[in-house]
Amino acid sequence: MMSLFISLTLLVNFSIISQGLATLSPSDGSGGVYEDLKWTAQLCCQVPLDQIVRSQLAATSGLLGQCQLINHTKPESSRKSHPLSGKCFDISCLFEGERANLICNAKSHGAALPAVSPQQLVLEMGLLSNETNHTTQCAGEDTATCSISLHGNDAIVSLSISLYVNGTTAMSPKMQINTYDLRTPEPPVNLHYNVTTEGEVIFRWSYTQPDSCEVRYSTNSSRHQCEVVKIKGRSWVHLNELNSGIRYTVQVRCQNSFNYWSEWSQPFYFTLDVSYIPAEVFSTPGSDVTLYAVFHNRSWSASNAVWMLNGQVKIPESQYRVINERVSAVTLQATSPGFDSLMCCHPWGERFKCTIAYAKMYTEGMFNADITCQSKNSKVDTMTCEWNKSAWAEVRFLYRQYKSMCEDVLKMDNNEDAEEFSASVKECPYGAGDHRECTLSNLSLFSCYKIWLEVEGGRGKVRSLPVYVAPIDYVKPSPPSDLEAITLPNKTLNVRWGRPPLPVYDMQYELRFSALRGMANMHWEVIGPFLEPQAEIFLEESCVQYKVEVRCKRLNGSGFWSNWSKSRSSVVYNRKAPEKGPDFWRIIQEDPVRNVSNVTLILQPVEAGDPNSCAEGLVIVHHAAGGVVWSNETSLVPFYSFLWRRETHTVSVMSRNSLGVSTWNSNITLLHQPKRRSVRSFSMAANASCVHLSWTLLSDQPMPQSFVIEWLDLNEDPEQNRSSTERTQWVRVQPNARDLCLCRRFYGSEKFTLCPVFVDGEGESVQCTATRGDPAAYMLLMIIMFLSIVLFITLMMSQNQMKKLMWKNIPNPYNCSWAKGMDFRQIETMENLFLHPEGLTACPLLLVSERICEVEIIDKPQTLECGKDNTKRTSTSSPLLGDSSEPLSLEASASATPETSGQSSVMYSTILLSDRPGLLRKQQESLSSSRDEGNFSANNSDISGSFPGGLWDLENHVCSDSGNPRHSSLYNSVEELSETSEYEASESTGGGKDLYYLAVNEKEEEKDEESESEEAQDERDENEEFQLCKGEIVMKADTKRQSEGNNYTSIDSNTTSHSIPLYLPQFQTESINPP
Amino acid sequence: MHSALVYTCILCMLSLGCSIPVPSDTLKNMVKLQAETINSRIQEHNEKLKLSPKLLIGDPELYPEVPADKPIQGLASIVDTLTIFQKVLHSLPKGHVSQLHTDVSTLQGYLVDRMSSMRCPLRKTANEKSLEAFLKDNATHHITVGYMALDRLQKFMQQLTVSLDQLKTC
Repeated sequence: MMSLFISLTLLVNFSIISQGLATLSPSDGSGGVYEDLKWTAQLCCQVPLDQIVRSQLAATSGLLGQCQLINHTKPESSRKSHPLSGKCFDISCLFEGERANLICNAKSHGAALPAVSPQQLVLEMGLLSNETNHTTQCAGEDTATCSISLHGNDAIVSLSISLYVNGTTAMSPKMQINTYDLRTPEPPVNLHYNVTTEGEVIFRWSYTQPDSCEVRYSTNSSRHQCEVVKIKGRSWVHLNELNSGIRYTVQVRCQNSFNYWSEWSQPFYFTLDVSYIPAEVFSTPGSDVTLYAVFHNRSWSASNAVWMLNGQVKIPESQYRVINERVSAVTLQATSPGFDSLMCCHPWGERFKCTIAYAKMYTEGMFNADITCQSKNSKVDTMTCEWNKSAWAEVRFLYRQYKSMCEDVLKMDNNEDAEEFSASVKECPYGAGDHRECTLSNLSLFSCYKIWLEVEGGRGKVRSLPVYVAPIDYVKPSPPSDLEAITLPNKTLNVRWGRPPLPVYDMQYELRFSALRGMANMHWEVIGPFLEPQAEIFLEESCVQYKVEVRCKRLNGSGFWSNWSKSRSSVVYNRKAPEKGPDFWRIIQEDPVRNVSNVTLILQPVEAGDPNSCAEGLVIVHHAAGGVVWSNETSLVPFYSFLWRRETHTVSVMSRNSLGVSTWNSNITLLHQPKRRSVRSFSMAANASCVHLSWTLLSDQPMPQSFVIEWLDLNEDPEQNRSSTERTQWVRVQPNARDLCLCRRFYGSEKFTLCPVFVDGEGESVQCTATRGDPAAYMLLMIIMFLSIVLFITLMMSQNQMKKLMWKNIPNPYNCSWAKGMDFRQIETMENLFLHPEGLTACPLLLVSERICEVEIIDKPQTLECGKDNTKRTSTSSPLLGDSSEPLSLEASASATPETSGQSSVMYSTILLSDRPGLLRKQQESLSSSRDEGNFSANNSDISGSFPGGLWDLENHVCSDSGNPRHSSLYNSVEELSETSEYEASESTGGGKDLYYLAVNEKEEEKDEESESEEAQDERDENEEFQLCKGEIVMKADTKRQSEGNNYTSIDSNTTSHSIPLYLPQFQTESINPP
Repeated sequence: MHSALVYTCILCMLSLGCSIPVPSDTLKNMVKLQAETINSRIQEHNEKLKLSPKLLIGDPELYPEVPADKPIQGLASIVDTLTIFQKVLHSLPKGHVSQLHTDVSTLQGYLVDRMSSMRCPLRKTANEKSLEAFLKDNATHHITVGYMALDRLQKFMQQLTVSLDQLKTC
């Protein structure tokens, strides 16, 4: 009965459950809740208990043996509304592992009903989507856990629970779990950013259900400090606060409808510098294209932007437009098809700072890529094609082979553009990339190849104009081979060669040849074309070996010249051995450390003699001490060096060819012993272009075999960089010659060495240095002289100017007592007063030549004798004169001319005592012509030293006779003046002997001298005195003489008691008045 | 007992000495020649671009993913830097850069061999992800990326040729 009741209850429950299942859809969880990556449900089953319980349950609900899913939205109220006192289970399902399995667990909760036990709980899971109906069952008492494999896919899993109690079964409604809803939402993908023409940065991503997302971004330096932005209802965000030049990492995550957060997306890295809008543009020729550049660097201003085309050309600023502070636009017209790049840069000093981003501009149409090809016909026929296109473009090199002639292909190709995309189109096997050439191999030389380039962009491509090439037309043949050349005695170069076997068409040839003379730089001479593989070239000289090369080219039609063949030296044809060896000289460089010398032979070119016996090389034969002989062979070199151990060594140089060596050869004997001296003199004379050398020999020496004159070429051309050996020049002179004229470019300081060469060795060499004047030196001298004259004139003018300035500072002479009655307006007066310019003391070396004082002293012995009675002492106060009873016999004559000196010519005379005629004569003899003019700083002269107190013989003036010039002496010594002035100065204080100086004017008549000197003498005794005026000492002149304009002055010895400063003008106006 | 200890020590020192070969001049010469070869190729490559001499592409302060003025501190740092340049070269279109890639690889081979003979630890390349992201971002600007990278590689080669003593240290 009891069992019948339970069965009925369960049947009722099943019917209700089945109805409930029909109302549940799989998408809503089928009674469960998706939360925290779990599907959860609560199931309560009414199971058969004892009679009491059973009756109560039947009275209240009538749901015996029923399992019911509790409403997951209001689980508590559901429980209350269905106060089942049966068994309840918590069910949860979740992924196991990496979504490989779904695992479900049912666990009873609440107090166990004692009457229920024993019980069994059974979980059954099945994959609904699986056609194989894979199910699994698991059982337990209070809890059961079951797992089902999902095979890596999302699936709908059915779940049912059966409860067996006391032999009866209570089954749950069938539940369904969608595993997709158990998953964590996929993170957003396709993260990227756009920049608008206003400069805004918009960050975007893709997500299936954009509901609520978070964007976080950080920099490398602040990885742990992310900025997070919450976004709702859209999949983009403005990121305008980013800095340029910084690498940002951005991640996004979103929530799904179950509020599950996805994982953070893969990080997106980006750096903002300059963005181009659009980054790539396609245009047609003639259309205007506008591009925008956004400066994300805030320190860059769009107003300073500089646009560069292909990184080479600056686009004119007139084409720029400033959109805002950060956005610059440029508009340019697409001219011709092709590809160009555009960069927007910012000035940085003189240069432009650019980022690595650039915009690409494709202009549709076919551009000219200047494709040129060159084919090679060899074991594998190849063709190398080159093109000339901007390196900014990444090109594809495409070609297609036709089986027709190129002319035919051209006609039919206009209508088959689409054919290029067929399988017959091939690409350069190695990838063109940034190469500008591609080599195709295994070609058919006679096929036609169509070749073109393609530049692909993101949204299309542009193509170059195709070229149609038949490789045979562009073949570069292999060079000719088997070259043979021979120089014949008839001045002919005969050359033969072999043509390359392929290609088989007719060939033409070119030949080039160059003489082999040991020169570093080959000078090629090209001749041709030749149609046969041989050539005969007429030469200017025979016996010359030539280097020969040949190349070939297709005779008819286009093609390329082959490379030059391997060089071949011609063989010089000879009938006999050379007759004569080359002449040579030596340079010896001693090495004292190794006790050896390095000898370099300077070999003259072999003279062109018989064309049948040409020299092809040299043989140097050494004869060393002890009879040791050896030889060396060399080509026709200009120099040959060897070591010499300073023993007797003879060297001879022979010419050689294939038939033998020369018989007439030069030799030289090197000796270390003292050399024979045979040259007496060696001199030279040089003019502008020639040097004339001459020498004489000692008579007691044998005649040399020859002379060698050696010198060093001073022309040091830095480009040639010649060594001293290469610059050494020499010439051999016949033994009977005694002079030589060398005409070539000399530099004026060459050192010529004359070396006599004897049979047994060299004689002692002598040297002579050229000393030719350099015209430049003369020019320099002339310039210096001219400048000196200009300087002199300038100084003269300045001196006059100074004199004028000095005059301004002269006090009013009318205030001086001595100037009373004088008329300074008269020129004569001024001249008398200021015969010595101020400049004499101020600037003694720059004085104007002026005549200050002139004394003419004429010694007349006869007059001296006859005038004894008439002689008067010039000064009684002078001890010398006082003691002297003899008259003075001296006539001073001084003349100063501007020509003699640029300085003020001041002439003073020393008055000599006539009682020392011997001394006087001796002085006259030695000093009669001495004129020591104007040099104040000179050393004391003999005159001043000999006659410190020279006297003036007044009688001479009375009996003067200028007819005896022998006794006419001029002692005009400034040193004398200085010394005697000092002496006088000392005497002025000590009252010593008197001294007389003369200031004598020129052009005085002799007869006037006599009378006037007498008068001056008289008046001097009476009137002469010095007057001092404002610090200047001026000798008071005899008014009479002054008025007469006579410069004869006499000095009263009494006046020497005054202080007389030692400067020249103090004496200038003293007059001597002869009695 | 003592003598055995001494012999053991001597043998240990000898074995230590043998295991650290002194860098020979041959390696220096090879590195120098290879570096100069790379520089010559870079010069030729960048000249073909015919860029205006006024242009300054790739400020050294920018794009730190590509080493610029990176100091040379022993073999490991050289190999590390070369590895980065290799990755940049690998990302560029094939062409003349392929030859440079081979040259840098050869140079890198010398140094790695030397490191292994000196038992130097290999250093893991830093900022690998940043470099990959940089190359990905600028995949369309390979001309300027190549120009900048080769310019920096050239400077590094110049620095290497004057720092050949660094080949002695790890």
